[in-house]
Amino acid sequence: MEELKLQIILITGCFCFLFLILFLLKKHKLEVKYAIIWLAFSITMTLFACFPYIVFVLGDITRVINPVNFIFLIQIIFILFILLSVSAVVSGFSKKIKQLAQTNAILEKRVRELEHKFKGE
Amino acid sequence: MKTLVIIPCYNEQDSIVKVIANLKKHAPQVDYLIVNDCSTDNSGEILRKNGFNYINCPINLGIGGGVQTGYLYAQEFGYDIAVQMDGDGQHDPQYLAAVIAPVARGELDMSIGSRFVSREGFQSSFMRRFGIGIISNLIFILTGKRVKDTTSGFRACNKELIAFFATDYADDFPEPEAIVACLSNGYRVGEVAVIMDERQGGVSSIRSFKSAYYMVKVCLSLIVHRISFSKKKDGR
Repeated sequence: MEELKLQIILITGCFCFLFLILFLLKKHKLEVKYAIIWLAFSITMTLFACFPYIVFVLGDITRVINPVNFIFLIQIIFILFILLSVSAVVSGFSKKIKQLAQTNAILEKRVRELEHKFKGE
Repeated sequence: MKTLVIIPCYNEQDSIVKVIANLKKHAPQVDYLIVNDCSTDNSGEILRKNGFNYINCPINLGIGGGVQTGYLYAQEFGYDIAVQMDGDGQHDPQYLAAVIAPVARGELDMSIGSRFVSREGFQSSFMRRFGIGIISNLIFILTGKRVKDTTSGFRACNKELIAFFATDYADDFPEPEAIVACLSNGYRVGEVAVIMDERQGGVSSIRSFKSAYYMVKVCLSLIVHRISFSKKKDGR
């Protein structure tokens, strides 16, 4: 009975998480390309919660002693990938911001010179 | 040949006027562009009052991003040769012609003004020289070419390299990386003897507490550069 209770809590938690992601997507607070890995994460966790049998089998195959450790392993792998992807995204942004600033700087110089020329006339 | 001298300027209020006056005296035929990288001191005001040819970065881009802005400008306005020169008075414009010469003759794609060729003038502190030596050895291992003054920011490059740097230039501590990027893409890099002075004002972009980070970052990025460009080398 205790186990079923825990499973129900886990399933509810997973679905809440999944709905939160979908909600953010719907509200355009999260871009689809960054949401893909989060969706994969939460769907995997939901599957594990609904069908614990998968975890037991995979845990056996990989010789993980405690099945719950297998879940932790998968979660850590996901989190590492998500963190890495965030770093990659940030790097891309910093490059774009740099380019934006540079073209802006050149533009500012041109405008300044134009203004100067008009004032001179 | 249309030549542009790019002078990165970050808080150089004490030296920039002197540098430009010197430049105009020794090389009146070249254009110059000061890249004011969001200075927090009076530099911006000084540039405006003196009517210098300058550009303002809207955000602080660091030495690499600032210099790259200069290369973008050089590309946009069709310059044949771009020269980088520090705004702190370390680089004497009297050697400008010597640094440009090999590039103008078409012998080199990038010519670096080096203080270690003739070993005259300001030679930097022992620790700095030690670090520069390590980077020099690393570049030798990675590319097979010996460059002595790897961190010198006094360098001239031709039109091809202007376009190359305009699209790809490292952000912070870009000097050694640029050398490796050039060499591994098959560009010719060489050194010219110059005599450098001690900086007249401002602070170096590489301060003591930063130097460990500097060494790690530079060595790592050099190796990364070598890895990512190794396939292209034979293509040229």
